[in-house]
This record gives sequence, C-alpha cells and structure tokens, in this order.
Amino acid sequence: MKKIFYVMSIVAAALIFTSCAKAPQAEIDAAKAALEQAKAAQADKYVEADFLAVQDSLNAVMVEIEAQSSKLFKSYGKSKEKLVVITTNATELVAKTEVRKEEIKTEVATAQTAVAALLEENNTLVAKAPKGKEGKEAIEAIKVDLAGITTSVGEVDGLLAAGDILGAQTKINAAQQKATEINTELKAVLDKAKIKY
Amino acid sequence: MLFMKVRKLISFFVYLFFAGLVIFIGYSVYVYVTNKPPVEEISRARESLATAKTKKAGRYASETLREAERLYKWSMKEWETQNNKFFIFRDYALTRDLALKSFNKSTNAGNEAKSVKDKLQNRVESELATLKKQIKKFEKYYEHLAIGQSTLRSYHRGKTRFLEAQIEFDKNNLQEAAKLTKKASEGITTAEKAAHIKLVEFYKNYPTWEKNTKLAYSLSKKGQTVILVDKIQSTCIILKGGKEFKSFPAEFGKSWMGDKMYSGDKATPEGVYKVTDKKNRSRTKYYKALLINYPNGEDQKRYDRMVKSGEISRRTGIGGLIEIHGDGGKGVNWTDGCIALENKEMDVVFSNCSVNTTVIIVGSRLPLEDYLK
Repeated sequence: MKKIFYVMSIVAAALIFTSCAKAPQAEIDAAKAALEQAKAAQADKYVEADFLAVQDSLNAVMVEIEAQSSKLFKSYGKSKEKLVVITTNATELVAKTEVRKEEIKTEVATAQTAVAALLEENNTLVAKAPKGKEGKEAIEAIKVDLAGITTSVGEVDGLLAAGDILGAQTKINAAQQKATEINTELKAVLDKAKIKY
Repeated sequence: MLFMKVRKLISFFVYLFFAGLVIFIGYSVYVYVTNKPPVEEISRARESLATAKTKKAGRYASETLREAERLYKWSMKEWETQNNKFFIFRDYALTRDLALKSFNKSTNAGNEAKSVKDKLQNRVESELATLKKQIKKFEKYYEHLAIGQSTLRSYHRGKTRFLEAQIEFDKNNLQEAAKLTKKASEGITTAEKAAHIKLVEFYKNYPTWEKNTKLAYSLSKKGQTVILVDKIQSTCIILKGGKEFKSFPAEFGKSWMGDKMYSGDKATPEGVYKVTDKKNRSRTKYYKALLINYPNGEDQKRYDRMVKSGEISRRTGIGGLIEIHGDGGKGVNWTDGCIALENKEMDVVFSNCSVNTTVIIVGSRLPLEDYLK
C-alpha cells in the first residue's frame, strides 16, 4: 500500500513539474512588436509579399504555441527559436522597406533629370519645326503638352515631400512617357520636312 | 474489537480513495485523448487567411477579410482561454466554430477579391479605351482651335491623368487606376464640352460663310482672281477660273474664332473685302502687304449697333489696317487680326493680286458636320 502511494506521489509530482512549462511570452511580445514596427515603416506597402510571409509565419508559430499549451507535457523550445527568427526577419523588413524607398526615389530622380533634358531638347526642336499648316497644328498642340509636362514635374517634388513616393513615381513616369512621345513626334515632323536637328 | 473496527474503516476509506483516484485518472485520460485541441481547424483558418491576402483581399474585399481576421483572432483568444483551464474542464467547441467561420469568411474574401478585381480590371480597361478615343477626337478637332487657355489646361490635366491611369493599370494598381480615369474623364470631358460649345458658337455664322464661299467661286468663274481665306483650315487660297489655283497655310489673330468687332480684339474679320493698297518691301515692316478695306459697310453697321446698345464703348474704336502680309510661318496665330503668310508664299499672292482684288474671309467652307467627320 505504501509503495503504491509513493509511486502515485512521484507520478503526481512529475505531472505538476512538466506541465508548468510556460509559453515564451517575452519572445512573442518581441516578435509582435517587431512586426508592428515593420508595418509602421510601411513594409506592408513597399515589400508586401515579404511582410505577408513574416506575418503568416508569426501566425503559424502562435498556433504551434497554443497546440503545445493544449498538451499535458508542454515544450516551447522550437517555438521559441522560431519566434527569434521571426523577430529578426521583421526587423529586417524595416531596412528592406527603406532600401526599396530609396530605390524608388533614385528612379524618380533619374526620371526627373531625363524629363528635364527631354524638355530642353523638345523646346529646341519646336523652334526648328516646319511652319507649314501641318507643322503649325503640331506645334500648337505640342506647346500645350510641354507646358503641362512642366506642371507635372513640379507636382512630383510635392508628392515626394508628402511621402507619397509611389505617387511621385507614377507622375514622373507619365511625364517622361509624354515627353518622349513628343520628342519622337517632333523628330518625325522634322524628318518629314527634311530639317536637320 | 473497537481497534479492528477502526482498522477496517480506515482500510475502507483508503480503498475508496484509491478507487476514486483510479476513476479520476481513467476519466482524465479519456478526456485528454478524446478532447483534441482544434489544431487542424485553426491551421486551416490561418492558411485560408494567408491565401486571401495573397489574392489581394485586403484591397478588393477589405470588409470581408477584416471580418475573417476578427473571427480568427477571436478563435485564437478562445483557444488560449480554454488552455488556461485545467484540462478536464476544457471545451474547444466555440474555438472550432469560430475557426470554421473564419475559414469560410476568408475563402469568401478570396473569391470576392477575384471577382471585384476582374470587374474593376474590365471597367478600367474599357474606360481607358474610351478616353483614348476622346483624346484622339479632341486633338483632331478641337486642340488647334482658339478655345482658350482654361479649356486647354483642363484638357491637358485630363490627358496627364490618363497617362498616369495607364501606368497604374499596367502596375495592376486597379483602384488607383480607376480614381485616375475618373479624374481624366472629368478634365477631358469638360474641355471637350467647352470646345464644342465654342465651335458651335463659331459656326453660327456658317450661312453667311456658305453664301460668301459661293460668291468667291462665282466671281472667280467669271474671270476674277479671288483670294478666299478659310480660317478653320488656316488656309489662304487663290481662286482662278472657279478653281483653286494655289493654296497656302495662313496665320491669324490670336482670337481668330469669331468676327472682328473692335480695335484690339485680335480677331481676323470675316466678310467680303477688296484690296485697297499693295505695299512692297519699302512700305511695310512685314515683307509685303495687301491692305484690305476693313471695316466694310457691314462691319461698320454692326459696330454702330453694338455701340448704341452699350456692348462696346465708342472710345474703343472699330479698328483697321487689316492686311494680308508676309513674315508668317511662325507656327502660331500671332497677328493683331491680319492674315500672315510665309514670305515666298506672300510673293505668289502679291503677284496675283491688284488693287480691287476681292478678298473673301470665311470661318469655314465646310459645314460643322463635315468638319467633325
């Protein structure tokens, strides 16, 4: 009888100690905070696929943690390791976002330079354009377009200052496309009139 | 005896305790084995949520996705609550139910996103095609008209938005593309309406132009050399023997769309005139010039009527010194109302004209319907 009692007591003690393993709350909080920071840095906008992958990884680990919490003999070792990796990945997202933003800003700056050069060239070509009836109609339309492109380029800086980098990219790309079309049109008109440029 | 009884009683309670313990352990094992945690259901819900997000449900089915996320978070919270209880008291029924609802919602969100995206893509594509046609039409019929800076700016803003919409559409940013097509349509449609109103207003004088155009051809058939100027076609034509002998591009006053009313209005007059003076190089700063008799009788009558009604101040003056002259070929309408030709073309017109040569200026030889074809 005593032996049975001692055995039961040892089993009960083992149960109590092993089921007292706690969820890695500090690591969970760190991972969530890192993901929130990434979101605040607009990672969900600029590196959307990576952000969603990290977010889903965190959700998957939380499921694992609750699955362990459901067990009698809990073990959070692997989940803890994964949370550390997730925190690192989420932190890296902030850096990736900044890199992506800088890439786009560089693209915008390059496009702005290209548009400025195109505008200068187009103004020179307009002055050389033939002055016949067809040329006159083309010139009138082109002058209006060139004025509009200048306005658009002016709006790009405002968008960059307001943090709308993607909006600035669209606007300058549209201006560049328009300026290039005009350049091609002018050169075609000059070629047709056999005027050297 | 008493000791035996007490000993028997103690043994009974010990056996009862161990029996209870065995039953409890057996029940606990049964509950532990049968009450499986909802790992599968929650995992399915999580995967479905992730799939919906990759299908851009966050953009195209945001409310449904938000609801799916809410249900998922609730199911996780409920699971955590149950896990905090002693295992034999745990009940995962609500957790499972919430996970299933979340799964269904996120599946719906994914499907809704696809449907909305497809519809939006088709709509924006159609709108861009319509805008492209509108732009082509405006550039063909209206852009070169004297429609005013405000209308041109509106058109240009619309065209820029169109290009931006095209770029966003190519990047698959359909909602942004839809916003931009709307702005593009507003600008271009406003400009088109304003330009068309101006054109219709311009063409209200077509009956007179038609009559004068017929007169020009009739006079030239009778042997006269007639200069016929078509403003909307920007053309100066020499008519001989009822036919077009030569035709040259011409430039007019900035406000050429309309008849000349008074001095300084930058309009080129319309009507039947005569050459009153031929000026060679030494007598004009514009290479060569043919002075015409603006204002004629009709111009004077109209001016007097407008002064009488108060539309124009008497101090304004009717204007004059309207010529066909050289130094044209600038590519824009730049004169104060005169008709400018390139110098070598001015030579041809000059040599074919004399004093009293008829000069007929019309807004258009063609009716509006033909112009817009």
